[in-house]
Formats: sequence, C-alpha cells, structure tokens
Amino acid sequence: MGDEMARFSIGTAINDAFSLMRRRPLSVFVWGLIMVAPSVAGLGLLWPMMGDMVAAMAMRAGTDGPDPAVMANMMQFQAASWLLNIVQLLLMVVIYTAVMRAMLRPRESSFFSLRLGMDELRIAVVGLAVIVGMYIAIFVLILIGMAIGFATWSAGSPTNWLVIVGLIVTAFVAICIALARVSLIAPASVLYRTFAFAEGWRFGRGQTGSLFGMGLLVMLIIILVEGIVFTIGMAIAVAAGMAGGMNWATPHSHTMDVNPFEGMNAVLAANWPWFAAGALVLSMVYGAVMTLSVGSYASACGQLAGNGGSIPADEQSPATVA
Amino acid sequence: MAFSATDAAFEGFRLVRRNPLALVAWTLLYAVLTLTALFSLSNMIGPLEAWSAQAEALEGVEAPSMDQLMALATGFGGIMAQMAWLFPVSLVVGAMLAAAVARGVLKPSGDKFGYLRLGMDELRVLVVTFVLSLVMGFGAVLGFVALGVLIAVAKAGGGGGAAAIVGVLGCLGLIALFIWLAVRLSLAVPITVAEKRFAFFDSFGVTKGRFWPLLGMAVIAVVMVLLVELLSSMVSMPLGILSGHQGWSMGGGQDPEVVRAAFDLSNPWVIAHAVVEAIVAALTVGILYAPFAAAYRDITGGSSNTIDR
Repeated sequence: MGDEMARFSIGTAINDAFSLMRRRPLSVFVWGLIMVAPSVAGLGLLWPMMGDMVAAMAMRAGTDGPDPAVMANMMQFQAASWLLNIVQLLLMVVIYTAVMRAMLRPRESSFFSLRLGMDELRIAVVGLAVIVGMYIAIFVLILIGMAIGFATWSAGSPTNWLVIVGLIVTAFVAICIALARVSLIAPASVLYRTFAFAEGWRFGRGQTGSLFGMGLLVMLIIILVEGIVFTIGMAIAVAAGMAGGMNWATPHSHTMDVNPFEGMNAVLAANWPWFAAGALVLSMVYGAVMTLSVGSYASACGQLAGNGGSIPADEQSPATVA
Repeated sequence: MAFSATDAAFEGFRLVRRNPLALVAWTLLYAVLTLTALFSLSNMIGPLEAWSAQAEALEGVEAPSMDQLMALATGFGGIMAQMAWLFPVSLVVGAMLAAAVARGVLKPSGDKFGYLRLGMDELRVLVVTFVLSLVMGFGAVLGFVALGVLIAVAKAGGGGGAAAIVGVLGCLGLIALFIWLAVRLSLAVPITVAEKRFAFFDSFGVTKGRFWPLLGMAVIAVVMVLLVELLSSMVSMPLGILSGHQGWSMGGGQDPEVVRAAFDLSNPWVIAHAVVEAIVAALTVGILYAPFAAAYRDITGGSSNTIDR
C-alpha cells in the first residue's frame, strides 16, 4: 500500500516500459498494428471520397447554388470521418488499457493483454473526464487571460506582446502540469479494478514535478526514435526511387495540381507493397511509442502502490488505499 | 450500505441489467412521444410553406399595414399552437421517467410497466422539478443582475481592466455557485418519490457535508452519458443520413423538400432513426438519474420506511 512518503523512480518507470517491449515484442507490434490499420484503411476510404468531391466541385465551377451530389458526398465524408474517429478512440482505449494491464497485471497476458470489459469502460470514463476537465480548465484560463489582457492593454505594444506570449506559455505549462497531476488515475483504475479517482489523485500528491519531468523525458525519447525511423525510412524511399523500385510515372500522369487526392490514390495503388511495408514498420514504432508513454506511467503507479519499484510479479491488486 | 460515489455512479447500468424490460418500457414511451412529435411537425410543413410565401410577399410591400402584420403574426401563432401540446406532454413524460428511475432504485420490487406510473408521485415530481427550475432560473437572473451592477461599479471606480477582472471572476463565481446549488438540490426527486411528499428543499439536509462525493458522482454519470452518446452515434449517424435528418441539419434547412423528407414517417429509416434515438434517450435517463436515487438510498441507509429494500 502506498504511503505519503512513497516515491517512484523515473529511470525505473522508463526501464520497465522498455523491458515490456523486450519481453513482449509481438504484443507491442499488435498494439501498434491495431491503431495503424484502421488509419490506413480510413485513408483508403476517405481519399477516394475527397477525390470525388474535388472532381464534382471542379465540374460545378462557375455555377450557382449547392450541388446535391456534392452535398451528399460531403455528408458521407463527414459521417465516415466521424465514425473513423470514434473507432480510433475506442481502439485507443482498448490498447492503452492493454498496456496498463500488461504492466500492472502481467499474468493476464493472453490475447496480447487485449480485453473488452469493465477495465476498458473505466479507462474510457476516466479519459473522457480528464478531457472534459481539461476543456473546462482551458475555458477558465482563457477567461482569466482575457481579464489580464484587458487590464494590461493600455501598457502599449511591446508589453502587450510579452503579456500575450507569457500568458500562452503559462497556460500551456499549467495544463501540462495538471495533466501530470491526474496521470495516475487511469493506471490506478486498472490496478484496483475500480474508478480510482481518489487513489490516483493521492498517488500524484507530491509527485507532480516528477510526473511532469517523466512526460518531458518520454516525449524527447519519442522525438528521437521517430526522427531516427523517419530518417531511415526517407533514405530507403529515396534509394528505392533512384533504383527504380518505386513507380512515380503513374502519379505524374495524373493532374496532381487539379485533384491531389486522386493523384495520391494513384501513388498508393502503384506502390502499395512499399506502403504496406512502411505501415508494418510504423505499427512497431507506434506500438513502442504507446508502450513507452502509457507503460511508464503504469509503472510509476505500480511503484507508488508499493510493488517494489518494478513490474509487479503478482496479478493480485493491492488493497485499495484508505 | 455506505455511500460510495463511484459505486452509485454505476447504478443506472445496474438498474437496466437487473430489469432490462424497464429500458424497453422507457424506450417505448420516448418513441411514442418522438413519433407523435414528428407526425405533428410533418403536418406543419405545408402551412409553414404557405406562411413563408405570405411573409415574402409582404416583404415587397413598402409600408405594410398593421392588419397585414397582425395577420402574419396570427398565422405564425396558429401554426405554433399546433405544437403547443408538446411542452406540457414533454414535462409529464419527463416526470414519469424521473419517478420511474427513482422507483426502480428505491423500490425495485414494484417493476410493473418498467416502474412507469401516472399518479401522485409523478405529480409531486413534476411540481418539485418545476419549482426548483424556477428557483434556479430566478437565481440566475438575480445573480447576473448583481454581477452587472458590480461590473458597472468596478468600471466607474477602476476603469475597463478592473471591470473585466470583476466580470470574469464574477462569472466563474456564479458558475461555481450554480454547480453547488444544483448538487445540493440533486436529491429532491429521490426524496420526493421515497417519502411521498413535496420535498422542495429537503435535499439540502441530506447532502450536507457530501458535496464533493456527489459532485464526483455527477461528473462520472455525465461522462458515462457522453460515452453512450459517442458510441450510439456509430449507429444513429448512418441512420440519420439514410432518414434524411442529417441532410436537413446540414444546410438543407431552407429547402421544403429536404425538411419534408426528414419528417416523412412513411420512410422506414425515419422510424428506425427515431427508435434508436429513443433507446439512447431512455438509457441516458437511467444512467443520469439512477445514481442520485442510489446516493439517497445509501446516505439515508434505507432508513425511510417507505423505501422498499
């Protein structure tokens, strides 16, 4: 059980996340694939629709009034992208819960730790509550910013800009710190199998700086990894293009400047093996990014709950913090 | 049973799982109301078209007479009067559902007709909610008038900057005050149903010292409603497109044909869309109202002799 003097180690938390990647690389890949596959499928669905819309609008150029066909296309596009967003949000909840489960309840490893049950419902509710709270906080900060802006507006031009920049930076940092403060509620909910708002809040007490710092560190690692992967990917793409392995003739035969979406579809169709291979690599990278960003906070929660500073060996949830 | 905010927040799901037929009954009630409203609206489109034509014709008149303007206003009033029945009926249906959910949590054995009744409980709930809404509305008006006076005083004394700060802080203060008031009054309906009396302000006594857990419970319940609506949009949005309702809400509002298509009850997709919306509305009512009844039950420990445990 966590006590008020409990501490967590950022190094241990990040190490635990990497350790999870080493122990369960296939799970990490599957988590990434589940997130990437719908996005790729969504692009395959949405680009042709956008191409149709651009083509219909080009045909209607110069005529007055809305075209029912364009309106119908727009409605279909909006509905499809909305549904896609919801599916991606749902999948995100399932994957984030799986990462937390893999870290905090490692024995429940079957089917890549993926489930669809009360844990997922709790994480969805906690996530939505945090998002709603964040929007309320942003609204309040905007109001406060406006009041300060009105009060200092008479100071003149350079001071005004300094105040505006200062307010924006302060608001951004305040939101990030607030998110760090509540970041342990979700993993605590998986750990205790309940809405652990109180426990998660208590774990974060006195740890806000460390949690915020860990977030920054995780972000830097992710930027570094993504930079390296992107550079290697670009090098391979350029080399393949120079060696004639990629087909650029098809897109050039299309009028990219008139209808870029149709042109992009042609690029995808002509080079689909390259894009498929890229999507697989992207899945591994995305899985690793999620494991690092979610797993490190799950590990911190486990440490603060008194599981010995590393991944808990037992699936038994500790007693709820009194 | 001790009151736990997170436990109580789930009471709506428990209630529906315990008695799924209650959800069916609430859905049927909502569906009947929605379809009847749709039928009335579809009958209004023709007269509204004729009224629009009359109004457009009057726009061409340089100086319309008072008689012409009165005739136009009377015509519009006549059309709106056809829908006037919807307001009291919606209030009654709302009271029936609020009482049914409270009854489902507090007296689970009386599950006939999905706990739906139309009797003294419903009348009391209707009166209590109406009075409390009036109190809140009146309070809001008073609060904003007081804030306006404060802003004016601040502007006179300290200029625009001071007025802005007072305005922002006052707005935030008023929002906080109304949230506090809403939470403190939130158990009025369960008390009214459980104790079979007009419990206008008794909720203050029961919620004393329990503001934060009740607020947390309410936040979780609202978030669960958001989640249900988000998930249900995966079904209702495609149905909305098929029924033509989406086309109406997306810029086709001026086209009578689009509006007529959105209210065309001979289109099965319109019915299907209305039914799905009714299911979501019924579930939403259960998720949102049941936690407050559970909170009352757990806080009082079922001490009220009218609660059937």
